[in-house]
Amino acid sequence: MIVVHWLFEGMRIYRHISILTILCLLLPVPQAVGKVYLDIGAPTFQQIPIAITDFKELKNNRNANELSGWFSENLADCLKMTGFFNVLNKRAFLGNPEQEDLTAKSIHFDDWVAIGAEYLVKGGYLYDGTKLVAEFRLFDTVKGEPVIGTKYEGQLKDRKAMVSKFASEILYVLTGERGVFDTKIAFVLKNGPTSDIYTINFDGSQLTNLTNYKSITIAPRWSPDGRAIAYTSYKDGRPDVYIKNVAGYAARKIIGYKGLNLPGSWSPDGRKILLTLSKDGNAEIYVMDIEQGSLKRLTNNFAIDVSPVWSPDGRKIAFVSNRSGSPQIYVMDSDGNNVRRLTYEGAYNTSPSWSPKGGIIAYEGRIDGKFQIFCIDENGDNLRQLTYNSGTAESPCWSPDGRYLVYSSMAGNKGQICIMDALGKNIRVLFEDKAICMSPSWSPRFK
Amino acid sequence: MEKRAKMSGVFVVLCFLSLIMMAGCAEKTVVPEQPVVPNEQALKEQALKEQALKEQALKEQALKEQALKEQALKEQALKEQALKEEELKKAKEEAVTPAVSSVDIEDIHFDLDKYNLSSEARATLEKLANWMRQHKDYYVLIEGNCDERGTNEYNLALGEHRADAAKRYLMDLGVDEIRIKTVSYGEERPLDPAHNGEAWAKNRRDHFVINITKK
Repeated sequence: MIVVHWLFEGMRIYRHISILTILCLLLPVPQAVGKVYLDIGAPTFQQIPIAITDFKELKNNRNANELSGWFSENLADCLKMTGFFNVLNKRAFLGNPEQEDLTAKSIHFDDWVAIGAEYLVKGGYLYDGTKLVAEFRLFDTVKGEPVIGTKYEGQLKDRKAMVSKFASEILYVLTGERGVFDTKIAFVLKNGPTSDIYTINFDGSQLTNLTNYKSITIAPRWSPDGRAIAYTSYKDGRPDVYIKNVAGYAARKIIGYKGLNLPGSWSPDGRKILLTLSKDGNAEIYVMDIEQGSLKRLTNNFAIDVSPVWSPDGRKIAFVSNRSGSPQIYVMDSDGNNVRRLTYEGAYNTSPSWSPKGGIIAYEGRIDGKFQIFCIDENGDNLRQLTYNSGTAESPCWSPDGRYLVYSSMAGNKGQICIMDALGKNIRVLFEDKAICMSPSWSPRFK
Repeated sequence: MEKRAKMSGVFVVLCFLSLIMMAGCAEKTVVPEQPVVPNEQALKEQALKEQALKEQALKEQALKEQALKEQALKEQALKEQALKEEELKKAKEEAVTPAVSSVDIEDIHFDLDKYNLSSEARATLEKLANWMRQHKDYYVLIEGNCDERGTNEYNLALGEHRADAAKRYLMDLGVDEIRIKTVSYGEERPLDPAHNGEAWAKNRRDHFVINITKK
């Protein structure tokens, strides 16, 4: 697929410069300078209202066939999935968008502002039976000007990728970071006494089983390049740690001592992996050099120490310990020194996940007999409850952009994998089954 | 083997039937032609020949059937012999080592997020220790389990502590460490898969699997 940013590249820079200039002139407020992005992490954030018209068949300049609607619907789905957009209903459109083409001068921006659209996407395509060319343009309706435009060339089968690429472009230009449309989530599906690891796309498509051992297989952990997953399986009768290439078949046992062998997170460079091992009689945290196989013990305590995760810079490790009498989240330096307790509220806090943007740790805690997802700053401030699930919400894991959390849930007798934004809003059920769903792990972005 | 024997039996029967039919046909065709030139001698000879052929076929058939029967009987006998030998072997093994079911050790249970042994659990372990001291050829596998609530990783560690608590108590009571193995299944092998308090209480347990020591 060929991608051409062909239209407004220069204009975009121009626009940002002009905004900066205007802001500098009119509002000499320090925090406004240099920041044109919408802060989607702010508690006051409102969804961005956006209109998407059906795409035009460019040769005849009209909405010719089902591809017209396909492009607008799929782009709308993509943007809705982010939770950051309110895609306006086509029936609310004023005037006749059919009479507008893809140029700013043909668009009646007042009509779009009147229905509350702050942004407008228009597009067109050419399909000759083999080659598909699709153009996407984003307009700022308030300013009445184009923001970005991109042209993609490929085959018909590439159209979904074209849509998610442009959705990612929209996110980037409005929020400063690309989307996570091409990521996957690995999780455990437990059917009676056996469990296996599955992966699923961010949009809920392509459920694929990674393991099929008819044994107990748990705790999937993506490598930082997204090519491999580490996990624990009882396939040889005991809980040993394996690494498997996502694309391949063979799994490699990397460690299998007496007692528990569980993977924690991989180091940011992918060379090391944190482990929970009980080979010395009690669950302790170790770091292993994957190639050399060398081990270094990081904790030394009679209590349970489990579920280690690195901070994004690799300098600290969060983990779970019951050394105080109940399971709580602790943080230590990556060499095992400077252990300090992070959580004090509640008698059961486990499953830490460190935000890739740093600073925040999500975890599961028990409140009123139920498990819910919480967040806390790494200095122990700003504790907040994110879920108020009627069943349970467990095992949170951050998306690679730090904007979403995936977690497992029990709703009635159904297992679910759910996604929500970092404020606990916009919950989307990604997968549901009568089997129990556990331990979701979000992949990095694939290169 | 049996199937093939049956098939060949069917084949033989079919051959025989077709022989009879052919013979019948031959009679029909021969008889109406004779009145023109009556030859009693020839007719008699013809009849005798046919009779002989029939008898021959019958005899062969009988022989074959006999052979098949004998074959089947032999096989049956061999099978019975094998079964008997197997049973004997089993009986012998059981005679040497008493059945495992002669000790009945129920699961021991734990409080939520705890791995200390209750007085009931201790009584059960004392019974097990007694039995193991008397039956030196056996080892015990202690499976530590949790209920489904909470993180499965933490529960795996908790299950391990539950199994270890029982192991240490057995060692205290004089059972050799070599004869005690442990494994934690965390929340992965619930006895009762329901999602309620009753099931959870059942699932927070150590389960004991007793086996003969491999020599």
